[in-house]
Amino acid sequence: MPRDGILPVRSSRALDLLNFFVADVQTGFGPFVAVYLTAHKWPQTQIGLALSLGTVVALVSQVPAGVLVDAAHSKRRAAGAGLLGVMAAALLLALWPEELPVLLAQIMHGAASCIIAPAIAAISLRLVGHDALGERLGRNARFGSIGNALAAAVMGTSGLYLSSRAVFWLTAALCVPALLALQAIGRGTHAGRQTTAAPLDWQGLGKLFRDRRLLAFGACVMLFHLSNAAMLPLAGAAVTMRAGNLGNLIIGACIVVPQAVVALASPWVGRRAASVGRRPVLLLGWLALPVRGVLLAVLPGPYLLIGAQAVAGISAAVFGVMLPLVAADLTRGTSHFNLCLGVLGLAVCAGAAVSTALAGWVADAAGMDAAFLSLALAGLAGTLLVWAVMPETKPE
Amino acid sequence: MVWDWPAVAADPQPVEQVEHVPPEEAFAILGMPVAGPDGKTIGRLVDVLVDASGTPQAGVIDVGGFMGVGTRTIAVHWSTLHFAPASPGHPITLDLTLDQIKAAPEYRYPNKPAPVVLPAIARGGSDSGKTGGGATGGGATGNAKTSSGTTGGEPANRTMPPRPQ
Repeated sequence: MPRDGILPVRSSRALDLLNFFVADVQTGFGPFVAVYLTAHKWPQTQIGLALSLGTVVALVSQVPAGVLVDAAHSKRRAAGAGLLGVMAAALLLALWPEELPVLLAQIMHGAASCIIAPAIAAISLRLVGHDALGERLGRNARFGSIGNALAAAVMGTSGLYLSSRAVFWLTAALCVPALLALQAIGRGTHAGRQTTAAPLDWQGLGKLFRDRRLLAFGACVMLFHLSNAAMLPLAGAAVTMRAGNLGNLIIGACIVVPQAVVALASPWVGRRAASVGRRPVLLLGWLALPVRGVLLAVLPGPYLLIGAQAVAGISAAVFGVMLPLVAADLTRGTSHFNLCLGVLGLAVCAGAAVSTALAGWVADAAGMDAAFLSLALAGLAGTLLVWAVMPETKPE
Repeated sequence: MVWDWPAVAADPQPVEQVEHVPPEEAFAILGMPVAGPDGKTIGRLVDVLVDASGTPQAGVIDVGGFMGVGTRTIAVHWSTLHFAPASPGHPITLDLTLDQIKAAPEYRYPNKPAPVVLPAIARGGSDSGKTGGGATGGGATGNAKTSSGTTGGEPANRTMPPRPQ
C-alpha cells in the first residue's frame, strides 16, 4: 500500500479510478429502479413511493452526512463505508425485490451517496491542496463522466437483452474495484485543517454560516438544479413522443453525449477556474442552461435533441468542478468543508425536487415546449443571480 | 369472510375448490413486455383499468425509454391488446401503429379521466360490424362504440371518467 505521497502518480491514478467506478455504481440507481420494479410486478403507486423515499432520504441526510464526514478521522474510511452501503443496497435490490428490502435499499443508497460525494472531494483536497484543486476536480469529473457514459451503455444493453436484475448484480460487483481504488489512494498531506477530524470547530462554523457568499452560492446552485434536473427526463419523453420505437437509442445518446462533453471539457474548466477565476466559469456554465432549454424547445425532430443535450455537457462540467471548488474556497481555514458541501447538496436536492414537479405541471397545462422554456427561464434567473450576487471566491 | 358466506360457515367440512390453470391457458400479465405490430418490444404492461363488473377496459403501458429515462405511460383500449399464452417469446402484442403509439397522450393521473387510445376499427362510430371475431375484449365492444366524436387519420382517443372516490 502506498504511503503519504511517496507515490503521487499512483495516488492520483487511483483517485481517477475511484471516480470512474463510483460513477459506474451510481448509474444503476435512479430512474432505472422504476423499470426494474415494474418488471417485478410492483404497482405504480408503490414504485413512486419507493423512489420518493430515496429522494427524501438523500435530502435529509445531506447536512448530517457532511457533519459526519467532517468528524471522521479518515475520509477514505468514510468513503469506504458509503461504498459498502451502496453495495449492500444493490445486492438487496438484486436478491429481494420485495417491499421492505427495496425501501431499505433506497434508504441505504440515499444516505450512503451523501457520504461518498463529499468524502471524495475531501480526499482530493487532501491529496493535492488548494492550488491544484481545480485541475484535480476537473480530472475527477472527467473520469466520473467516462464511468457514467460507459455504465449507461453497458447497463442499458444488459437491461434490455439480459434482465433488469443483471444491472444490480453489475452495480454491486463494480463496488469492489471502487473499494480497491480507494485503498490505493494513500493519505495525502495538504489542507490538513479542512480534511482531518474536527467535530466542533465553533469559530469555523460561525464563520461559514455568517458568510454571505455561501447563501448566495446556495441560491445559485438551487436555481441551477431547478432548471437542470427535469430537462433530461423531459427531453427523453420528447424523444419517445417523436421517435416511437427508435426512441430508446436516441435517449441513450441523449444520456451519453453530454457525458462525453463533460469528459472533454472538465479539465479545461478546472484550469480556467484556477487561472481566470471562478466567476467567469460559473457564468458560462449557468448560461448554458437557458441555451439548452430554448434549443430543446425549438429544435424539430428527435435527432437534433441530441445536439441540444451536448450543451448540457458544458453546464454539467462546470457544475461538477465548481461546486466542490467554491466550497473549498469558502471553507479555507475552517474544518467544515464537508458540511459546506452538505448544505450545497441540500440546495441541489431541493432544486431538483421542485424542478421535476414544475416541469410536470407546466407540461400538463401548456405542453412540452412551454415546460422546456420555463426550465430555461429558471436557468436564466440563476445566471442573472450569479452575475448579480456571486463574488469571486478565488483567493488573492 | 365468514359473515358473507353463512352457508359455508354452516358446512361442517368445506371442500377446498382449487383448479390448476397451466400458464399456457392463463398467465400473469403485469410487468410483462408488450410487442408492437412488428414484433419488437415497445414497453411493459403496468396496469389494467376495469369497470364496475371487473371487465378490463384499458391496458396501461410504459412505452420506450432508456435506463428508465424518457418512459411514457399511455392507456390503450383493451381490444387493442392480444394475448397469446401458448406461444413463447412475446405473449402480449399491441395492435396499434407506431404513429398511433407516438401520438398517444400521456396517462398520468389515476383520478382524472384516462385518455384511452382506441383501435382503428372502433373509430368513426357506427361501423360496429367490423369489430369482427371479438375474441378479445368481447365484453368491452359496447363501450368502444361510444366515441363517435373523432374522425379521420388521427388516432382516436376516448376519455374515461375517473372512478368515483
